[in-house]
Amino acid sequence: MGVIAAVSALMFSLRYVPDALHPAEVWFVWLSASAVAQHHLNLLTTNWHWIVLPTGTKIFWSDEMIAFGLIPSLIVWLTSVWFHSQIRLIWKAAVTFLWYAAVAVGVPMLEWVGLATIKPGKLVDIYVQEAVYIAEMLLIAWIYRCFLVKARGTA
Amino acid sequence: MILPTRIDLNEWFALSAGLIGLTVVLFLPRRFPIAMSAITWAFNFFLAIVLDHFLAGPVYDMYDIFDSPKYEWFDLFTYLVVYPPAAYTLVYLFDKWRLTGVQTVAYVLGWVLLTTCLEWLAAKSGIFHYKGWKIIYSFPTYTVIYLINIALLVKIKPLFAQKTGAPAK
Repeated sequence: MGVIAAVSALMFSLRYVPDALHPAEVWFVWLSASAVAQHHLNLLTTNWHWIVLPTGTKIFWSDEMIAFGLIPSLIVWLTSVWFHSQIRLIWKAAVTFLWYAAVAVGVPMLEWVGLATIKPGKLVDIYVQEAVYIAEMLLIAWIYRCFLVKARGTA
Repeated sequence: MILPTRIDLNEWFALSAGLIGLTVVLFLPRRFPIAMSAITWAFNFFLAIVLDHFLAGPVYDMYDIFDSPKYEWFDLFTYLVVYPPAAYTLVYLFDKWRLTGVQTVAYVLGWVLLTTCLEWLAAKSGIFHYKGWKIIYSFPTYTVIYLINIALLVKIKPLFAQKTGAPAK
């Protein structure tokens, strides 16, 4: 229930993303973030087995809600900070670090609450994978903004 | 990620389907801004990878894709290049022909029939290995997917019709 409430609140909060993001960007970044999160999750769980997800249906859906609802919504908020013209670079970097730290703390917490098992010795590798994910998403959002600026003149 | 040890019929089928889909999309006259088409693309990438994870994942495990239950390069290729062009063509023609009411129902049913037949061929070629899944389940699944695609088009098109509100560079 806690996961459902948190994800629902976060997704609802996307209605209030600042004007720094065009509504089309909210759609695109959320969808891409969700799909790319699934791509990384497939690698981590199915191929490398760095994270083992329990097969119980309830736990499965909690993990899915985190991957498809929570993380993408947080990525949209992070992107809105990066695209905000009045926020200084140092603050953007600080927010990104906090974002990353929160996710980094969240991984061992998943194990602690019984939503996942981390393969011993692979926590640092998972952190690297998360950093790659954030970098990918900011790059994808930036490329999309270039297309959107172009569309502004042609749409 | 895993590459196939040899390119079988299933990989050739996926490559051909992707190539044909991309060719169709590239040769269609530009109708939407790239930023708008990108949302359709991202949405179908999202749907494909998420649905496959739900249905073919360890919990429900209703089918396998390609040669192993692992995540392969060809899985990613299918999500990114095979499914989205079909959905893009669907919404492109829907918008071009300005379909309404019964026409929309007939149009969507036509697409559902076509893609269910293509999925049957894909299963025969070895892309899908059904465990608990039946081809009949694909019919309602594609119907919902295509209706959501059309709803998404209706939702996002006005975002690109207005000049104001686009972000400043």
